[in-house]
This record gives sequence, structure tokens and C-alpha cells, in this order.
Amino acid sequence: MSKEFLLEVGCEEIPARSMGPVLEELKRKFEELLDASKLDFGNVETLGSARRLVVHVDDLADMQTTETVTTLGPPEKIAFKDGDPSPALKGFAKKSRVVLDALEVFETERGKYMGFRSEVEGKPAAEVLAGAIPDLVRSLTFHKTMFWAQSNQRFARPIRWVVALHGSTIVELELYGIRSGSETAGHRVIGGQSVPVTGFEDYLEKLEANGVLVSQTKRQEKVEAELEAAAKNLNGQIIADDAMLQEVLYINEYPTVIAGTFEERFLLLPREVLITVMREHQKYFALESSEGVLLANFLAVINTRGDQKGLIRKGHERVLRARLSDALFFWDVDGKQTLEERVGMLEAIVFHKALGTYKDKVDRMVSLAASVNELTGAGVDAEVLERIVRWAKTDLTTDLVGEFPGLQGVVGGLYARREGASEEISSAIYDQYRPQGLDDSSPASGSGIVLALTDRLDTVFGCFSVGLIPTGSEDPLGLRRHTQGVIKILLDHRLGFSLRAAIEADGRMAGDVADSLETFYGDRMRHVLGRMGFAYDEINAVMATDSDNPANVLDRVEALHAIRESPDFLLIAAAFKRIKNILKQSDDSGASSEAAADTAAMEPEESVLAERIAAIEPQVELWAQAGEYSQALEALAELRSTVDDFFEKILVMHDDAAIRERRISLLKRLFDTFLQIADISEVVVSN
Amino acid sequence: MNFQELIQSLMDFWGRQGCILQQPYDVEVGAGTMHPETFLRALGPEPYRVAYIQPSRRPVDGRYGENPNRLEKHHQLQVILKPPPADIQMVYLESLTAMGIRLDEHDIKFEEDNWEWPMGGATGVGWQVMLDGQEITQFTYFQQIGGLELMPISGEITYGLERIAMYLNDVENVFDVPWNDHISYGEVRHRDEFEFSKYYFEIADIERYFRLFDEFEAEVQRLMAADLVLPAYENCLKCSHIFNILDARGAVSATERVHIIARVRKLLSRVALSYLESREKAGFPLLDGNREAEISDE
Repeated sequence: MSKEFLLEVGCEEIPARSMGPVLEELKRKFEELLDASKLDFGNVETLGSARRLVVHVDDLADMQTTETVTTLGPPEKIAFKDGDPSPALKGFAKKSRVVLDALEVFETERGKYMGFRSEVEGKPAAEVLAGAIPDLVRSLTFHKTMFWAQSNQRFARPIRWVVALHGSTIVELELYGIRSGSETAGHRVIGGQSVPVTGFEDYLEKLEANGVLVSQTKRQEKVEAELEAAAKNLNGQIIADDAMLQEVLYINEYPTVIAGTFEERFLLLPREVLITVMREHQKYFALESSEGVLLANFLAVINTRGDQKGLIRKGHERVLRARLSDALFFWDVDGKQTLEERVGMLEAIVFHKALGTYKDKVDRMVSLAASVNELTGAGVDAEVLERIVRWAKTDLTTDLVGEFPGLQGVVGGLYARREGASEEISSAIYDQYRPQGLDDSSPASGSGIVLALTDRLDTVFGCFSVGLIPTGSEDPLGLRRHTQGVIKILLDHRLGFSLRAAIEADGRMAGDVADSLETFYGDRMRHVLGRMGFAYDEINAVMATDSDNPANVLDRVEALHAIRESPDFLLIAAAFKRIKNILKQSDDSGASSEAAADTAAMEPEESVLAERIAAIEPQVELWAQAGEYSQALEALAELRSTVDDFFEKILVMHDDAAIRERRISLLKRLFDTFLQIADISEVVVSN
Repeated sequence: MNFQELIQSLMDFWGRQGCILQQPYDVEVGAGTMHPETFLRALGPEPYRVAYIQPSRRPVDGRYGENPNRLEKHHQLQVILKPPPADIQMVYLESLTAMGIRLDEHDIKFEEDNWEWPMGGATGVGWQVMLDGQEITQFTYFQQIGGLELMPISGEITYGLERIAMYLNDVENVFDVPWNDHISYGEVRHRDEFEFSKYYFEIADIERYFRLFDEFEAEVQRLMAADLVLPAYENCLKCSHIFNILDARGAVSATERVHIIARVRKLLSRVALSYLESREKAGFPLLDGNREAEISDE
């Protein structure tokens, strides 16, 4: 027999950001619980809104599955004496409370044993769940938990009621001191606070009647449909914001979309600022025309059925007006000081206590930017670059960024433009924090690239030089992210750039610190290249050669990636693995390349290989210099049969030391010729 | 509903909920939380219910009376329910009804907003309550004060009175709020905003205030040695306010800032611990069992 099961943990409003992940965790853990408890079930779904976490199981068995258990006694050979049961067997039967006739022989890995099968009846589902659910709920993960009544109870927010029904029967359990029952609570304002329910269908219906849409999917459908309809009505398009959509879905138990307007005079503010004001403080969706022009309208998601008297709309418009007035006020007031005048104010803002103020940071960046400009060959005018760097952080002193920290950089760029700075200057400042993650794009202009690189490199160099080096999961200053940003910019634009040269020009880091930074940089590069779809062995192979210049690493790994699956190349890679082993073994044998000269004394396969190598060496050198890595690797693949023949016919480890050394040094030449592109032996050859 | 009617209706409501109706603390503070009726009463096991208005000074928010939304001094109505009843949010919503809001005609949300006062070693978990998109209340379950874990927890409800009054009276400038039916908020307070903004931003004597900070800090040490916790706490608040003035005056460098906050936090943590010990020594007189015993002894 089976029935549906319903669990509702009724809470005070749980923070929206936790809800999506916790509903997934709850589903997974509940399924695991039912499996581990040997309770058969159909399907587990989890639902939830701000005040409730809900589990619904269809067809949950009434009882745990009955289990057949085999109990083994003595081995067969000591169970009988002269055909009669031995004392050992009798003792086993007595202890197990079974009659002797019920005992049978069981074949086991260790031989034949006497024993019996019995059926162990499972416990009722209600009993099992009553014991397990409290621990399961306690184990859920939230961003932050709290105490509210007793010192051993932590949860995201206080739990106020619990509904637990199997069929229409209450599953008696206690959760954080609350006894389960069959009464839920509706919407705080438009619903009853004590609503009896008899089962899942009834629960959904009653809650809807009491102002709660429990299903997140249903709320999402409603909101999306209403947003679309409202936008259409205003001849506009929503500026999509999935993160905000998810948030409002969990803040509102009965979400409804309303439209509002603001005065056209606020459209003087830049689009970025308007959208941020609407989003950050008010969680409003902004709209634009089909030409991409921002409209003086907004869409708000409210927590009730509608707005019959228009009071809600009026309230939201009022709040937005005040916010926009503030922003406009900041926009005007900020304009009273130029960015140049703000440079000195950076002395008052600490960047990091070990690294001084933003003024200190900018002073360091000025000289670092000059080296970055040179090393990348970006060719930004030196004077322009210095101005960009000096102004880059000045927006931190503005009221607008004080109010909307997420707009740093953007505001600086907008203010520079307003002051009449060139596009080269303002766009560099505007884009300095890009890319924001590996899916974002990099700054486009040369000046933007140099600033974005310099800012991050300064932070990373500075932190490493004072011992702020990320360990394990600890990376409070986001150095991994900053470093990945550097690598991504260099790769996006295929900009040659030597980290080693930059470290040297910067001069802040001692040798061992520089080494640990290079290792760190290499790890981040592996991560970025891995995300781009290169296999780890391809990455290892090219980085074994050199990892100082990400764009060059990318060129080489692309060439390797393109050829690595070809049969000839795979065979050559296998041969290189063999060569590497030979070279490793003969490390101390003093093999030197001078021994390689005399082809006359060679076996045919040996001399062919020596000739091919001699011919290919200078070519590979030229290709490598020209970045024609594919050419070089194709030529390598073409050596396949020559190398095969060599290994087939030639004994490298010859008894005669001179011959041995000659052959080893030949292989070393071959290996080294391609080592300027990759350590081919790192390529994994599967059978 | 004008400003004073709003205050009256809320105080009346919370009085009926069993709160002691207290008076504002007569020392400059930045928020109602710093009133000893919250900061100290939240410590230890004794239950407490209190409501009071607290004029709250935030020098950096001064705008010379020119900004319609920002003030160097605003009024908070602070409620402490220790321990919080299970229906605390519903009781809170009733208080909105008491100020004339028909809840079913409005959009009410509880949005995550956790509170922290680093100087006071204090943290809390809770929400900002949004009424038609306007934040009208901070709702917090205190978790720590003076670096000490709390149990029972106190539920704190803080109403921003000016904002609510602007909303109820549908005015866009705080100075247009009617204080009563004859006089506006601006007529009562505008000069105050102007003069104090000028004082905090331009005139306050930086050197003197740095000296005063040291003096009050020393006084706290002396009072702690004399086992006078309440006066010591009051002197901590002086330090805190002086810091706020110096900050508005632009006199606190970033490194000093960290340093000063740490100094005051140290004082406040010591005071919190001493207060708790003094209540323990007194046998936690407000615990239910202890009060009955006291009464029957007499």
C-alpha cells in the first residue's frame, strides 16, 4: 500500500538567495533518505516560497520493504555427526529460535554452511520519517543561520509550524520544538493564518485561495507572462535580469506585476545609472524601446493579488522618484569636482592595510602601466595612459559610487566623458573591471586593455609581495579571479605578454615569491584553458615548455589540439614517451650532442633518422619563431615511420658506450627540437 | 496622521503589548540600539519588553537641510521583545494597522537584511520591511552584543518615523511632514539640520575632539575600575559620537578609522561583560521565578 506524502516546514521569511539551492538540496536529501530507509516511492518534488519549504512524494509506501535475511550457523561439515544434528547445530537452532527442520544448507564463498532465511518486517513509514526528518531539515545549507528560541536550534529563520501528512494521516514528529499537524498558514496579509488541509491537492488549492502560490514554477510562469504582457502594453521590451527574476519569485508568495512610470526629466541620467537605481534598491525591471532607448517606465513585482485602488503603484512611483532624485542630485554634485581634483582624495580611501591607500595603488599603477603598455605592444600614448591610470579610481570618491558600488568604473567613465575627455580615456575607465568572469568580454581598446591588466597585476603583485597568497579555499582578495581576468584579456586579444618581464620591471617581488606567483599564474592558466575546452594533457604538454606568455601557450595548445587525434601523431607521442624514459635513465651517462656527428658509422635506420633530424631542426626553429606550430607538429607526425623503424631495428642501450651515447644524443636532439613547442611525451595515448 | 499622532499611536500600541514605555536616552547616539535599554538589556537571561523613541544622530548624513530625504538627526521608534513571541511578525503588522494602514490594500514584503554594528561587537539577522517599495522598518533578531552570544534572543523592531510619516502624509520632502496640525517638521527642525550640518562638516574642532575622545576613553577605564558599569557605558557612547563627528569632519584617516573602531569595541565588550556579571551577582532580579520570590519575601 502507498499514499502521497506532504511535508511543509513553515518559517518566517527565508532569504530569497538561499531558496533555489536549498530546494534542490532538500529534494536530493529526501530521495536519499527514502532510499536508505527502504521506503518505496514514486516521485519526490520540492516546492517553496518565502515562508515554506515543501516536500511532496507521490506513492510513498506505508511500510518499509520486507527484507529476506539469511542467518548462517555452523559449517555443514560440523553440523552433523553420523547423520544426526551436532550440538553446535542444535545450539544454533535454539539460539535463533527456529526448529531444526527449518535449517538448510547455504553455499557461501567460504564453503557450505547451515542456516535459515527469515523475513524481517519493515517499520511503518510514519515512524521512520518521524525519526529522520528532523535531522534532514537541520542538515540543510543556508548562507546564514540564526538562533531564535533555544541555544541548540539554528536555521535560516524561525520555524513556526510543520505540516506532515501521509495520505490524510498526520505523521507525528517534532521539529525544533514544533509538533507537526495538518494546519498551514496562508499569505500574511491576504490569507488565513490557520488553514486545515487534508492532502497535497487540497493543500495547493487552499493555499491558492489563501494567497499563496506554493509552486515556484507556477509563480515563474505567472510573473513571466505578466511581465511580457505589461511590456507589450507599454510598447517596450524588458531588459532581462534572471538573477533578479529568481529573487522576486522567492520574496513574493503571490507575485503580481504592476507597471509604473517616472518623470521624463530623469532620463537625463545615463541608462546604466537608471537601470541600477531601479534594480539595486527597488528590484524593478527596466524597459527599453525596440530601438534600445530606455523608457520612463518600470515593472514591479508585488506581493498580493492586485492593486485595485492604485495605491501600491503610487507608493512605488513615489519611492523611485525619491531614489532617482538622489541619483540626479549625486550626478550633479559629483560634477562640481573634476576627476583630476579627486585624485588627491584617494589618500583617504584604504585599498588594503598592508598595501596602503588607493592613492598609493594608483602611484604604483602609473609605472606598472608603462611596462604593461610596452610589454603588450599596445602602443598607448604615454601621457594619455598616465592620465587614465590617475583617474581610474577617482570615482570611488563620488557620491554616486558611494550609493551604487556596483557602478564603479562605469561612473568614472561616464564622468570622464561628461568632462569632455576623449573616448580613449573614458572607455578605458568605463571598462576597467571587465571581464567580470570568464563568460564576460574583455575591454576592446588598447588603453582599456592596459588599464584592466595593470589594475589586476598591481593587486596580485602587491598581495604576493606582502605575503597575502591564497591558500586552499581562502582567497579573500579574489586573486584567482584577478589573475584569470589577466589571462582572459591576453587570450581574448592574443596579446603577447611576458609575466616574468613584468615581474622584473615591477621589482617588488623577491625570487621565491616570483616563483610562487608563476606557479599560481600557471594554475589559473590551466583553469582558463580547461574552461575553453582543451584537455588537461594538451595543456600540460605545452605548459611544460613554457607558460610565461598565455597567448603563445594558446597558439601552441591549439596546434596540438588540432593534430593530437591523428594516428601518426599518437604513435609519435607514444614514441616520445619512450624517448623521455630513455633520456631520464641516461641522465648521468653524459650523453652529449657532439657525439652525433659520424653518420658513416651508423646503422641505416639510425643514419636516416639523423639526416631527417638534421634537415628538420632549422625548419622547426623557423616555424616556432613564426608561430607556425601546426606546420611543425605536422612535420613531426611525418617522422612517424622513420622513428618506428629506428626503434624496431636499433638497440639504443648498446654495450659500447660510444655507440650508446651517440644514439641517446640523437634521440635527445629529436626531443629537444620539439620541446620549444611542447613536451610531446605528456600527450596521453590511450590504447 | 501627523508626526506626533504617529508616535502616539505606536507607543500606545506597544504599551498595550506589555512594553515599558521608556524615554529617549539623553546622550547622543547613532541609533536606538545604543540606548542601554537595548544594548545592555539584551544581555543575559532576564526577559524584557520596552518601547521608546530615540533621536538618532548621524553626522555624515547631514545635508544642511537641503536634501528632502536625508537628515543628520532622525527619530527611531525602537521596540525590544525579549524573548520574541512566536507571532512577533503578525503583532508587528497589527502595529501598521494601528497607524491607519489597511494592509490588504498594500504590498508588504520582508526582505533579507542582516544588521551589524562592528563597534558594538553586535550582529543580528532579520529583514527590512517594505511597504509599497518603501523601507519602513528594520526587524532584527539579535545574535551577539558586545561580542557575547545571546540567549534568550531579543526581537528588535525599529521604525524609521520620518519615512513612515512622509509616506502616510504623501509628502516628498521630510520638512513638509506635519508635526501636528499647525506646524511642520521643517518649521520645528530645519534650523537644527542646518546648524548641525555646518558644525559637523565645517566647524567642529578636530583637535579638541581627538583630545575629548582620549579623555572619555580614559574615563571609561576609570569607571570600570570603580565598578560603575552604567556610567562607563555612557562614556563609551560619548566616544562613539565623537568618532562620528570626526568622521564627518573628514579628520579620520582610513588607518585611524580601523584603530578607533577597535578601541571603542574593546571598551564596549568589557562593559557588556561587566554588565552581565553585575546582573548575575544581583541574581538576575527580573527572571520570572526570582521576581515572585522577591515579592513574597516582602
